[in-house]
Amino acid sequence: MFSEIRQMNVRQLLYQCLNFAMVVSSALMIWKGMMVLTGSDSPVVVVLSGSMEPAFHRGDLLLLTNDHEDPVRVGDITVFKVEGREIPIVHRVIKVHEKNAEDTKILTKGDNNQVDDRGLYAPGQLWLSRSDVVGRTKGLLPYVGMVTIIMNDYPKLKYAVLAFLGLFVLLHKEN
Amino acid sequence: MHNVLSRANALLAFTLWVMAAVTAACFLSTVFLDYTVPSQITVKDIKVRSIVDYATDDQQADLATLSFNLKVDFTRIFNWNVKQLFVYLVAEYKSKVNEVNQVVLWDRIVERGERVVMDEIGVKTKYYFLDDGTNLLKHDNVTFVLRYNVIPNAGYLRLVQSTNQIVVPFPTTYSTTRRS
Amino acid sequence: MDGMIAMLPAPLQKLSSHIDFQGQKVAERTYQVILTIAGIVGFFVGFWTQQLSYAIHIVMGASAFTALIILPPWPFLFRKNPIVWQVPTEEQEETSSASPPAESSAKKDDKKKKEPKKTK
Repeated sequence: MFSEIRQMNVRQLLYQCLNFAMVVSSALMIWKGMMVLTGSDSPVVVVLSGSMEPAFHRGDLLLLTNDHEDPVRVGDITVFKVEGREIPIVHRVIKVHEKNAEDTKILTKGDNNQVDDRGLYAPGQLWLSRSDVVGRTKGLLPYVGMVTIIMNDYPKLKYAVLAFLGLFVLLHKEN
Repeated sequence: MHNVLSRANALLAFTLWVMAAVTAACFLSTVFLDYTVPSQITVKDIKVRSIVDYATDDQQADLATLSFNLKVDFTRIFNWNVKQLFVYLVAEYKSKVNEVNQVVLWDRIVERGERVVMDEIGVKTKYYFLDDGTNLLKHDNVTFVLRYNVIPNAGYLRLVQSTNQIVVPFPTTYSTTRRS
Repeated sequence: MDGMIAMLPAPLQKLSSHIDFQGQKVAERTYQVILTIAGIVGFFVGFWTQQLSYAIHIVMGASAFTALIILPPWPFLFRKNPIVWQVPTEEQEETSSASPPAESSAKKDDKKKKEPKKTK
């Protein structure tokens, strides 16, 4: 199996490493470029829960924007972060009280949930503010995020796949 | 392509590409359509009560109760790239405290293949119509409008406002009777 | 990949799914044509019936059908043009020029390692 490595000379080995670096950095640059274009810290999210069913299912990919010129209004599907929770939540706005662009009270609820999100917010938090909202859903790509769901459910598989991909990129010879 | 694994891999990759292309073509064939439909809303039995509310800064807030009739036909919206509509009734008003107030009073998920013509009579609000203060009494410019979010199979999620909206004046005295 | 295949036990290696160069070209063209046509047909069927699921199912069906054609190494489709290997020069000098090339090519086929890989 390692005969591939032994067959390589130094130039080839360096080329493979560069190739590997290229794959990693182009993925990173696409991500960062989308961050600049959309203004959102996480321009792409995968739906992890069923709280927005039947609109979004687990594994759907959402495209977000975060335009501060365009105020948050009811009906918008926002992605927000709550203190003490690592994973952002994707839920719909059902109430807005806006004093000005900076000082806005927002209340959200999942379409498939019976009650609003006050129970999900940080203890004592009754409203979201504009700064809690990291993006608004503008586009939907079904099933594209399924790989992420599988990886999340089986973490061991994730490391196996990562190791395999890394080996493949390093060993695979361009013809 | 020389052994079965690499052929399977090439076939799978190409199948996924074709499926993505078909989906993208489906999105392009529907993206420029008009999704606006007219609706008829009538609002009645508006009562305003003053209640103690922990979520308001002053602990005192106006709570309105009402019922409404709604007539709308969504049939023409549903095409092959519409999975679901999220229909919601919004009360929109300006108050002394806030430049913009928007409260969703009622919503409904309408899936494709379900009953897509609505003729609802005497519907009670699903959520509390609670102001962020005491500004609902004597308010003469509360707008009721029906909006919906078109959720596609793939592509752009649009928010559409129905063409008709109504403005309703609110009562001038607090109601003291219990909500039925 | 070849290194991994060489690590397999001998009986498994005999179940080779390799096809020849001409066969690879035919197989690649086959799935491209079938799936592209299925995609176009699927789009119009979906548009006509206004059901995206029909379009996707047509593509998936065509994919399964194509798998039946191109995955097994059908000898009458993909193994019609085996490579004829030249006999190494020393041997050629020793033996007469009438040495049967088919036999030596069969021997060489077992040892795939030296075969130059020019395909993806």
